[in-house]
Amino acid sequence: MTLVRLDNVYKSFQRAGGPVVNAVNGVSFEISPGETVALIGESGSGKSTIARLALRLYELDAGTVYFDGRDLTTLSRDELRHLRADMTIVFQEPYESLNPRQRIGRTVEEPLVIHEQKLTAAERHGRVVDALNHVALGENFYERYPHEISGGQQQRVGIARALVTRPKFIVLDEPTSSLDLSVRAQILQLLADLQDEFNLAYLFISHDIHTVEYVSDRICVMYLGQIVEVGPTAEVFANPQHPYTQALLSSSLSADPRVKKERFLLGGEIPSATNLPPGCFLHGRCPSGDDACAAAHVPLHAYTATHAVACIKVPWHADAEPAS
Amino acid sequence: MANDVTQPLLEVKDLHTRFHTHRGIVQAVNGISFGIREGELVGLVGETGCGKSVTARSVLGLVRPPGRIAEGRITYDGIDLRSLSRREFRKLRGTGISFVPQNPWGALNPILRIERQFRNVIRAHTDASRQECWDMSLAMLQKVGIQGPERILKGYAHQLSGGMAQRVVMAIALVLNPRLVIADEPTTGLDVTIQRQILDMVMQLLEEERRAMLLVTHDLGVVAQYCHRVIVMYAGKIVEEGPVSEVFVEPAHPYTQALLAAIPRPGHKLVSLRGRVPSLIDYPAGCPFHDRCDFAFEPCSAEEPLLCELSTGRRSACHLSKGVSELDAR
Amino acid sequence: MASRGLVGALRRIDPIAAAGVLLVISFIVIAYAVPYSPIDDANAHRESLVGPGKYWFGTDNLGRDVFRRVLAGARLDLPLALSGMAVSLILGVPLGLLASQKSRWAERFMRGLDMFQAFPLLVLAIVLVALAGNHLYMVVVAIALINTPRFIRLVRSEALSLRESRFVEAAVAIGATRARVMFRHLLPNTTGTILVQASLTAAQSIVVIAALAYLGIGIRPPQASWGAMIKDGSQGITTGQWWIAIFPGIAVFICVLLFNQIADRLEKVLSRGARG
Repeated sequence: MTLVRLDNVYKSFQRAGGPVVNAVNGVSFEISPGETVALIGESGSGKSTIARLALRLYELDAGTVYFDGRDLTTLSRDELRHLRADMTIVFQEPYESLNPRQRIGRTVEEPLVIHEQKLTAAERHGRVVDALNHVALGENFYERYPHEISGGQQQRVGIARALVTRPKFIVLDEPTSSLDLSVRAQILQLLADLQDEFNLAYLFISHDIHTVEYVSDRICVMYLGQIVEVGPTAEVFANPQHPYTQALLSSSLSADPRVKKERFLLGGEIPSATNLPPGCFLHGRCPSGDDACAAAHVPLHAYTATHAVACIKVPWHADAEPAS
Repeated sequence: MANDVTQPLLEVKDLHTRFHTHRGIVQAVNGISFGIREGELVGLVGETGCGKSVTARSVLGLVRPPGRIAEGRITYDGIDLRSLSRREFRKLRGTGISFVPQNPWGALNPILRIERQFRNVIRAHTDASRQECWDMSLAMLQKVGIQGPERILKGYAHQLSGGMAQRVVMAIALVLNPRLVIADEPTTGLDVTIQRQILDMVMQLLEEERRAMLLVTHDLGVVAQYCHRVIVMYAGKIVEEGPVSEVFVEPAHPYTQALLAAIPRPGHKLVSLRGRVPSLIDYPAGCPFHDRCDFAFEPCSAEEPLLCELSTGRRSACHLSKGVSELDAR
Repeated sequence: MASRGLVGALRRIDPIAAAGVLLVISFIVIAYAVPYSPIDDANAHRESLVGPGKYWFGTDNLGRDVFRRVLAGARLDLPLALSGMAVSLILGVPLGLLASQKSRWAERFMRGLDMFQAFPLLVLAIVLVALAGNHLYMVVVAIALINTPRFIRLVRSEALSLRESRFVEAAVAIGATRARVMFRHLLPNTTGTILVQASLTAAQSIVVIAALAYLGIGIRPPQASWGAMIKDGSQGITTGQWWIAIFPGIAVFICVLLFNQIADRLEKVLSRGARG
């Protein structure tokens, strides 16, 4: 059973008079209830765009997004709005994502005011306090303003706001990237605890390899708006197949000086998403790229039963047909 | 690594840097001392607000009001940096100490060609000809791993990607072969693969040419993999210092232990610190870390632990480690 | 919300802004407290400034006490300026918020506003007053015509940049309606700018009223208005009766300065306020 499914999603942007930026180029994946799927990639990989497409905060150019069996792209504005009690998002910037003129209690209460209008004020207050307690903030934060609390606490408020309507699915768009190491650990622990308690599905967007390895069940590695490798996190980390995944994993630096850094082979810079190279998007930078790579687009194909790779050098799984 | 007999290239003694704000005096750097020897790559780590950037700026003479260096001595190669005039300091930057800031765009002039920006720096210290400047810039850009440096030199800052811009800034900082480079989070905004490319290039270059570096960062991995020595700061003080191979493997100070335990690793439960960093305005009595520390005992809240030597080049500011070293000494 | 911003700002004790507001209020109170009837004190002789005595600021062509007329001018000019500002505010703020939406309606509306503003608005106001008749309320209409488009633009541009912010995106993501986004998230975060613009509008309205009165629009003699007084006195300046035009001129100057000061201080306090 899947809760969220993206099917061949495309999205491009165009600033007035500027070139077209192809942010997301045919992405498909799914998330089951209680599962954490991570999207990892560098800037320009389209991961934050996907975060918003998965909730239809942006309109899709092509493709479909299903949530809980419903096709989000066909819903009216109001139908979609009502669904937002069940699916929501926590942003990277904890301070910027809170209304600076709104007290913490009000901020956390707002989804209830929108979605559960039958509640009395007292019931709402109870739910808000409950949500604040769940993120270890307590009732005394109710009257405070965002600028009066620390970054970690601001992020907890963002999580409480997402949590208060008891959703099934939360997109976490780099929720810990702007936090210090010790605070990051607190938030990651909190997210894990909440997932266990409420059987939440997470789409965890990050560029941090350590964090992704720690939190996710499955991982999608993104490069230039495409998924180049997807599979169970442990499997992908143990046995990365796509040259980009290999490069990304080897670029991570261990804080243990006894673990020597791996040789790093990827040259050049990420090509511009306004002018995508033909064939495999990586072929210009790839150490094993050749003419065949430049010739044709490479679809994601099964490498094992659960692990798929978009590289023609990687053998196909015995039972799998070439993916369409 | 450098032996103990040589005089440190940079020596900071009892540095206090304060910021006079409308809420009170912020003790951003609260009495720290450290040294960097010739050819030594030193990482300065800590979390937001620990004073690591202010330390770097203090050394560079870049603290601006409301900030002020209240006390302390900073000597570079025998020169007392605090006594230098602005002009003398400018003379020293580039050839002696040079600076790589976090944001490369702020360091590059948007309306001058890159070539001209190199030339300005070179000519401020030497009387190289135009051609010599060009050759020096070209060679330096190649050393930091830029392909097609001619095109970069003829272009402007806005034509560069973030990674390229940071390389150019580093090349400008290194072009006069400074003996000490101070870099403040030089790769923080960059993608990991780009960070890896740049660090591989630059740190190798510094190591080969035996230049010293003070690398300010919050990224423990960068320090663990590229630096010789690490200084850990907390709430404006140094809590631990020592060779990377020792501090990251067997951290002595509970704060360093907590930092390392907060790095997510699959299969390990995350250990998170409780509480918050103390206020730098009402500085707490005793150890600044005591109310977050699992090992705190009576003296911790009363008496401030001094940074004391555990072994050669290894220091920690903790009553517990002091106890251990005193026991060892007996 | 707006009032909370203002009260909050004053509570954070900005003595200068608070003193400015108090001064304006006391100005109006004093103006009403001093009895004045334009016909009573016609003396038919001019007197220059004399010290503490009968005529503090001298008398005008018709022998009227300039001091009392300057005070009486505040009775008309200040309430007119403030109500002109209020009308501009009430119309401009919601329209600006609505126009910040991404819709074809908003596009067209702004295009229309461009054309409207391309017109010299003071001239438009004069034409309007000429057509609809010379009533006092036409002054308010004229001020609103000039200032409403400014509020619309200001609020719209402010709201447009706020719409890009994370917290507005967060509000959409939790399912907030468009109205909720506008009035719960955009509006409270524009109050600072709006208040500043309001004070500036009040200052500028004094000048507009004076200009209109100078042209003989809105305020009719023998009612006392600073603009009309400057007009009356302007002929006298060349012949040495400087005091007739100078004192109302100083009154305009002080009021404009006062409102600008209030605006200035509010801006500082509010920009500090949100971040603590």
